[in-house]
Amino acid sequence: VSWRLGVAAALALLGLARLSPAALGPCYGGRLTAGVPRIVLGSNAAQPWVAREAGDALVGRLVHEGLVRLAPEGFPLPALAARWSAAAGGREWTLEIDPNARLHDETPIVAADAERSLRRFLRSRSPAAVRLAAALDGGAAFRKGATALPGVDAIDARRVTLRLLEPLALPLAPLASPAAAVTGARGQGAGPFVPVLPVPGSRLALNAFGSHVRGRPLLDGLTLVALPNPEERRAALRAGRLDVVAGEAGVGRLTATLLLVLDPTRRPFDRPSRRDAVAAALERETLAALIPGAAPARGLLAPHLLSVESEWPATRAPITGLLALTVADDVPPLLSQRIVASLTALGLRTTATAVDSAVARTARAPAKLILWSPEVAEPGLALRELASLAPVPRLASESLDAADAEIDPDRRRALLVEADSVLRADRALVPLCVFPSSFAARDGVRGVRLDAAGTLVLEDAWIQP
Amino acid sequence: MRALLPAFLAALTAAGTPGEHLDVVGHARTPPLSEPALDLALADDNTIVVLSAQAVALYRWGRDGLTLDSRQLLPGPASPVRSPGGILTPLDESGAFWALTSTASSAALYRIEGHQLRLVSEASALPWAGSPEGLRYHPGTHWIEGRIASLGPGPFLAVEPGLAVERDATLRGSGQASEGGALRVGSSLASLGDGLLAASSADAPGSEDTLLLVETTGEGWHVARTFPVEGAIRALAARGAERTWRLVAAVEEAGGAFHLLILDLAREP
Repeated sequence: VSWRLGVAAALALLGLARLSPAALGPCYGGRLTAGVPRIVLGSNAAQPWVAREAGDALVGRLVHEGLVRLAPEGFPLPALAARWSAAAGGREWTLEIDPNARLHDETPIVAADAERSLRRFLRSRSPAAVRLAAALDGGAAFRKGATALPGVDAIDARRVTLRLLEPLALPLAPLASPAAAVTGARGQGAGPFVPVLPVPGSRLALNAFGSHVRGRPLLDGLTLVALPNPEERRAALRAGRLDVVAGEAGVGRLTATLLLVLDPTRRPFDRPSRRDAVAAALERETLAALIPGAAPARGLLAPHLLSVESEWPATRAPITGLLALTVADDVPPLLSQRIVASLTALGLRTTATAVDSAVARTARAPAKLILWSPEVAEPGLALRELASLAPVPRLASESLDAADAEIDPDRRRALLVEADSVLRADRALVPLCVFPSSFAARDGVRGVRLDAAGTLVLEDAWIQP
Repeated sequence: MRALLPAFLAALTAAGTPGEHLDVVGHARTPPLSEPALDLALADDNTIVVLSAQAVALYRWGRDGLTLDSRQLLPGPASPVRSPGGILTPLDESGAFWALTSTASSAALYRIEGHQLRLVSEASALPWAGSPEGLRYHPGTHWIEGRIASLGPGPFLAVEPGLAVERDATLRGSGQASEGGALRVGSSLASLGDGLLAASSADAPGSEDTLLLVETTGEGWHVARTFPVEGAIRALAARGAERTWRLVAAVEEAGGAFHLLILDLAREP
């Protein structure tokens, strides 16, 4: 989602669009046109990919379907897998494919499709895949190129078993990653919509998939139109050329974190005191006030994922020197300018360079400013994903391992709060603000919502007659 | 009038449009149903058939509240439908009725025997008066397909003998001209007879719905009374004669639970 909202209108932060029962509806039929900042199809439009940010996951969510989805609390919900069961003290999980599960060419989905898709997923760059591979029997070797993968086994036509090295909390959560979608041997998807007319980078028409596992979507189809300029999207909505616009003030929820990532292995931030000074110099309330709907960050994750109480260093020891700051191109310029000013006032002569948001995440830089939302909206996986962005103290890794081994939800949450705290204490990851994902829709468009990762969900959208 | 729960008086205020002489003379609200209701039928004033996407259930409403007497799973494999629909035909003198849902592959004929439901027969389409081919659901939706004499080819959102709601929410009656006097209603409909019908509203989604009591006149439809209802009316059934009716509504609450609202209506002279 582009965050260059640049508008004075305040967001109505309503959280999830409340799915009130409709007096008339939901109704079938009709098509919607949705304006989005960009349409990311990956190298092959028919294949799932690892989304770089929430907005990029949109097409994947429309075209593809995984074995499970996640409930807001992080527990798995049926998707292509209708049910699952645990054995061997929680080390074996067998998922049963829904007999109604079909690929877009109407081929029934079988366990072999799930196994092949899991093998593809486990070799992807998805952070959730990294986590699952580490937990699976033979998963680590498989990621390095081994052919054998004893941890994934299609035991018959309908069931696939995951074998873990040790029992794990929420072991199926990584399967909710868009990159874990199940595809056919020829790349056919199984999501609620079938892509029919992609114009790379600018337009994508999709038709309702009549045999989707949760039932045909309510719409007959939809068209995504890429309009990077928010003013253009807004004008198109006003003119009636668009029915739904992503990133526009309307319905929103806090899903992304603005992070300053400092490299503790390189100057000038190899000294903890300098990282403390930077963390203290950046006033979160002031930064959040610059963006409608944003809030000062308390922890690393959006509060609906993990609510924490935090304190920040108050000492502002001056630092002198030069700083090259890498800024992801989806960070609002208002914010990056303010941050550069604060760092300069601290004594750092700062030069900011804007780079593509995906490049910024992996770039090696003494300091980088990124807008981050989790690949999978589950706090344990989200914190692990964050921990991969910067060298983290051993204590943080130990906290995350302890949380993964803890089955009790309350005790696990307490361990995750501790891990969040340890990750922040090192000041390699400095959360500044939490940001809203948002959308606006014209009157009469119903059922559109945002998922916990901020991705627009259109499969339950409908048009009031 | 059987004793109805006064606690529910507040749930249904009779502050509707100024009516003629049609009044709610008693009402009650049941505890939550175990599953969402797609349609309702009344075997007698206190015996209610509830159709869900998976099953047909027979409830008894009495001094002990709502009692489930019998529940039968619908025959055949069920297909997933995001927003399913269902139809129950009115019960005949023998207590038999047809059931069809958009998740099922066939229609099923049931009979009430004592306090039990018995599956009698199956058919590829739902037998319906005035529809030689019967009614079916358009695959994967809740659109009712099938030509009904004097009501047109459909598809419809709801049907009752002599009545239908078209896809654009327009109410159609077999005795009504298609032009003029058009009324938009929701997808729940029940005929009370004597030129009177009940319907949910075509209102925008929200936490409240409106129950419409509609009279047929020579010029078209006339909304005689409206009653606000907390939740969304998902199904209606009625029985009665002359000047008194029992009307039952299946109401979906904001959280997704369903309950029945039982109303006694009377038309005062």
